[in-house]
Amino acid sequence: MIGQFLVYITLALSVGSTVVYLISANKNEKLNKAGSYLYNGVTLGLILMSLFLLSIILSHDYQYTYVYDYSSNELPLSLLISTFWAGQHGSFLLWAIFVAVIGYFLMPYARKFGYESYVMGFYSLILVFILLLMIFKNPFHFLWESYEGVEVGFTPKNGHGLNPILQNYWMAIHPPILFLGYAAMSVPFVFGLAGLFKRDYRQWIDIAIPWTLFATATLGLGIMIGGFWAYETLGWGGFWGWDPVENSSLLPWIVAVALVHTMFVYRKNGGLIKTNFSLAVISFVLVLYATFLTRSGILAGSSVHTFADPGMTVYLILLLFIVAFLLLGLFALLFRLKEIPNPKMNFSFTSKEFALSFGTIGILLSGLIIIIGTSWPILGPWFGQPKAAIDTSLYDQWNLPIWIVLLFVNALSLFFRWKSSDIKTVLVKSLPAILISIALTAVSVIMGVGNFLFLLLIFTAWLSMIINTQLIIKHFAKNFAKTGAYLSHVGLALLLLGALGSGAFSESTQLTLKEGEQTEAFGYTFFFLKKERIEKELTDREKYQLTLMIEKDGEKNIVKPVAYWSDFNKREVPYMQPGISRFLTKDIYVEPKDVRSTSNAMSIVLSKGHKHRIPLNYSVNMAMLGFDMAHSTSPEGEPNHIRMGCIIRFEPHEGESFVDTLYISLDMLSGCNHPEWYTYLNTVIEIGFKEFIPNKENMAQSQAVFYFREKGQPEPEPVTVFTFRVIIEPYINLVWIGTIILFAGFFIAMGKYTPGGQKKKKKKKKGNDTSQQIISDTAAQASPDRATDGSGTGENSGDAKAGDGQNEEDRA
Amino acid sequence: MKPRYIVGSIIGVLFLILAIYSFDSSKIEYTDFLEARETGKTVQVIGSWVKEHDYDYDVENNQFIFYMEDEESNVTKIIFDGGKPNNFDIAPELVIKGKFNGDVFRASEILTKCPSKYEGDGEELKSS
Repeated sequence: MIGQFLVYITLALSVGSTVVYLISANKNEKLNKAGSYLYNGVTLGLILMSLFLLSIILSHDYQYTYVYDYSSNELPLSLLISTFWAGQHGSFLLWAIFVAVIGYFLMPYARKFGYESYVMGFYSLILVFILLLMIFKNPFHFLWESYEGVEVGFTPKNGHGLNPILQNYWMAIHPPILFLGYAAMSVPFVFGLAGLFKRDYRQWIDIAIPWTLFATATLGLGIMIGGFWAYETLGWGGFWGWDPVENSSLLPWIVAVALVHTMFVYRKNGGLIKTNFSLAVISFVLVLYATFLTRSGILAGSSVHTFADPGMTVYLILLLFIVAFLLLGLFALLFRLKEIPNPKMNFSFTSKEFALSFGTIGILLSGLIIIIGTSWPILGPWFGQPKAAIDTSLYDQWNLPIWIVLLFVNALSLFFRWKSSDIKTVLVKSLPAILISIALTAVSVIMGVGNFLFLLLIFTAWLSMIINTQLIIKHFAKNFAKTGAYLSHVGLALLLLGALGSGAFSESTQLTLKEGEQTEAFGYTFFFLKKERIEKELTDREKYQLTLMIEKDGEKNIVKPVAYWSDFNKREVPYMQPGISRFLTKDIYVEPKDVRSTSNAMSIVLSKGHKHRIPLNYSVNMAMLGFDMAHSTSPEGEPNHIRMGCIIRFEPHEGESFVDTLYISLDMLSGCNHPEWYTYLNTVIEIGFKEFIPNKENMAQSQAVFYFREKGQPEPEPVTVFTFRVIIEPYINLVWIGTIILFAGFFIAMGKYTPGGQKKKKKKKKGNDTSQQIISDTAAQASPDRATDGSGTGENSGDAKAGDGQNEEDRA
Repeated sequence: MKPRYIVGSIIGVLFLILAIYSFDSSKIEYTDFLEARETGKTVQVIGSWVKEHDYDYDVENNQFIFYMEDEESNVTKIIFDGGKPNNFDIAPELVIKGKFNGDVFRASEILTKCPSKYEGDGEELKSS
């Protein structure tokens, strides 16, 4: 009740904030003030909603559907808090609260630059849409509102619980960072939009740079943490699967990375203004597109991550959300297109501008391939094609050459100068790096890499790393913040090397082991040391830690994968978590795939009406006629034991048969069963009714397990056999190290662009390239229409590319 | 027309042809078992696990064998190269990728839903 009410109030406040801010249009101080109060009201409303959700989660208030569906009494505090965002409804709230809180800090920042009313107006409009979705998808519905036939006021004693494979600390980390990234991607968009409305086509870029860096860094970090989680505990075998939903979160990131580069070009020479506008719009629209793909159910048949169909209303709001902001951005841009300054830029193919523009095109090309592939199941039917998905190998095929070129351009461009550079000088400067890279690539050839494109990627990655490192060393003492960009490039090159190594050169095999056994694979000896039950105090699960020792040349490593039976799926199938042994150059990834009980004894399983040969004498058949429940008795003094019979017809010869009953003693407490061994017709064959497998739906169809032994032999013990998938993942560590370096670079770069530092830098920069700045500025005034101007190759092609991306979005 | 435009458009057209060709050749259609059997192509089939039939994991060959019913109610035996996937038994819907080999559908991939995406259906509440 309180929760629902808060959603409506907050929605109303957000509408108010949007309207007041946009009417104010920067002209009315009073209205701005009113807008800010309304906006703070929205933030407060969302904070209250979040606190309320937390309180009902922490107090186990299971009358709320959301709390019932995703949490349970057994969850430890950290995981209990994580159930906040475990489902569709709560993750909308998480997104909303992050957007709102970022806006709280954005407001004074935008005010300082005279951008408050437009920025906050459009920003509130984003919240209007999210809150509109929350009217239908909020975590505050009662059980009796969600499910028919539930009595009003009914509060279950325990919840359904969190899916066991989400019960991991990454659940507390990955979703918040990802949603923080999604939320932060709104900022460059609203600055761009505000710039268009204010007719201030330049300043917004400067102002938006630190926010764009922050958004790009957090979104990328969130994506990669998801990859790490998938690899480390979900047992997906790799960190990236080109799943449509993974792709859809990558798309805004790719465009944001392009935007970071074009913003940089703008700062240096005042160019690529339209490209910056376009990319700011596209990156945010892609965030909305990702939301749509994940939550509309439209990719249900092609992705593992999508939510179930949320219903027509929510589907339409999600669609409207994208269309509204796409059209808003598009029309604002078209409306102002003629006015947007178009600095004439004189630069050649060997200029830094050209290299950066070219690189941007490459990055966007990679995005274009991914968006077409991801959208294929939706796009196909529009063009009268049968519904089809794209084989994920396509992404590898395209991205490999694209990133080879990008790494190469990145490496050489660092020695390029603005406007034009002497190619000879560039080559001389990069010669040492080229030679070292060739030598390092040769090492890979010796190690057996034969694929030409792989070698090219290895070469260009080394080249990029070495040259970027040279520049880091050069700038480290003088201008530390400047090293951020170079650091990010090094990180990316490492990440790509790791992706290549772990993706193209991984090997896997299957091991079947009993406790205490050992076997060889990949030159290692795998000992299955022991199986231990853990978390015994929790009654909703049966969780076993398996300890394996991996040995080679006396070096021993322990891995501890987990097999976990949970009430969540009625303990039908265990959840498996991999164990990973980390080496510098590779991981050995051990994931349980299957577990079964076998015995060294011969056994058969029978149900009523079935017959089977006796293993110790194949000429004899035994058929099960049924269970003898009538004579089920508890022996004196042992109330927990039940003696049960199974009626068997033996068929020693064709047309000859006799019937007898075999007994089992079931211990209801320990679950240990004891057969009463039955001697078959004065032979040495003994038959034991060893296990009773009940069929809950139809008791008469329950199964019986019979063991066979020769007289005098010890009773056979059942043994659990595990099957493990072992994967060697070469150089996977480079992926993680690369990721850390990549995003550390972003955060260092943010220091360079803080608003205060920016002015200082700008002054300094102006001193250096005054002439150029003036040239481009005057050119902008002289020729505002650039369409027929062929001199700005880089920008032209950059714009054309952005345009392509936009058309793509249009269709999507 | 400046030469760089001509070069640019040639590159653009080449890229487009290459893209169309590569997308066209790597698409995998969604279909049912009948059509999949007729065409023999690699396809994707949406359906659900038929729990009433036997299912088994063949340890030696690392194959998971089960029966699946597609949306047209055709039931077919599936051999999947790999173990039983996580969430297999609670997935209301499966999507498998592969092709027919005789009477058996050989699956190379099974898609079950991401664990966070299950939404309760209140079934348990009704029975309690």
